[in-house]
Amino acid sequence: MGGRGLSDRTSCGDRSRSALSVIEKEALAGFPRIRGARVHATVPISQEILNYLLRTIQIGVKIEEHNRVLISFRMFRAAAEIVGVTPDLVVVLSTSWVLRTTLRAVLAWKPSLQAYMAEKDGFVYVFCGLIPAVRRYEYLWQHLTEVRARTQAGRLILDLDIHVR
Amino acid sequence: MFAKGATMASSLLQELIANRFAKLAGLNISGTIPLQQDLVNEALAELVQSWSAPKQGQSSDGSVTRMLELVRKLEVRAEQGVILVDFEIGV
Repeated sequence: MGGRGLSDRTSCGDRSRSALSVIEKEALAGFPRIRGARVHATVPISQEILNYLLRTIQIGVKIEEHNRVLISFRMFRAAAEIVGVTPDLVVVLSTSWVLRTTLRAVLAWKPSLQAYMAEKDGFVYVFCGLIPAVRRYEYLWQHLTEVRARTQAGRLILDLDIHVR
Repeated sequence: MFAKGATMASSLLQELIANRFAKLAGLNISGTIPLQQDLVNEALAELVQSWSAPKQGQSSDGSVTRMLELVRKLEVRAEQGVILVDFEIGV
């Protein structure tokens, strides 16, 4: 019997730890004891929550229908369309030549943003996984295998496939 | 930065709970998770331990704590589709 129950509870540390701390430890270790788990999740993220997460890099978004988003950075505002989201949370946006040119200028003016955004081959890439508030939970989202994004006015809906390998 | 992120996440979570997760309307999660029995037992042990240790400031007559202190062993194991709970209580 390989279980570790109360029979050896004296080896447990702080008595204030709860079952949640066990799950958190497991998560930080990469979920070694739930290998093979498969989860599908549909997660609606309101515009408000998204802006809350993005505020550390001073970017704001307004979410519209049909995968369209309005992105703002200080005085700049531009429309874009979400083309896709990769499992490492890179959001690929299709946008106008004007915006891409503007973005190039913004990235040159504010090099710190280059860690979070890039413009290449006619697309704009937002590295959401590198945003501090999101990166903090990499131990959780590293198990994503597929991400599909769609929008409704005011909210982004993510369909997530998770596989703990 | 880490502390700031933690504070943000914590206040965001508190707000979500306060609004009964209204901002997450439409959330749906499904899946299959193979749980190893040692993980279940570890979680169970921590859970029982946290139940038996009331937080500071909380009023308690101590009856739950006293009852849980009688539990000498509590483990689960799975065999052919049946979950077995092994326990031992003693005074």
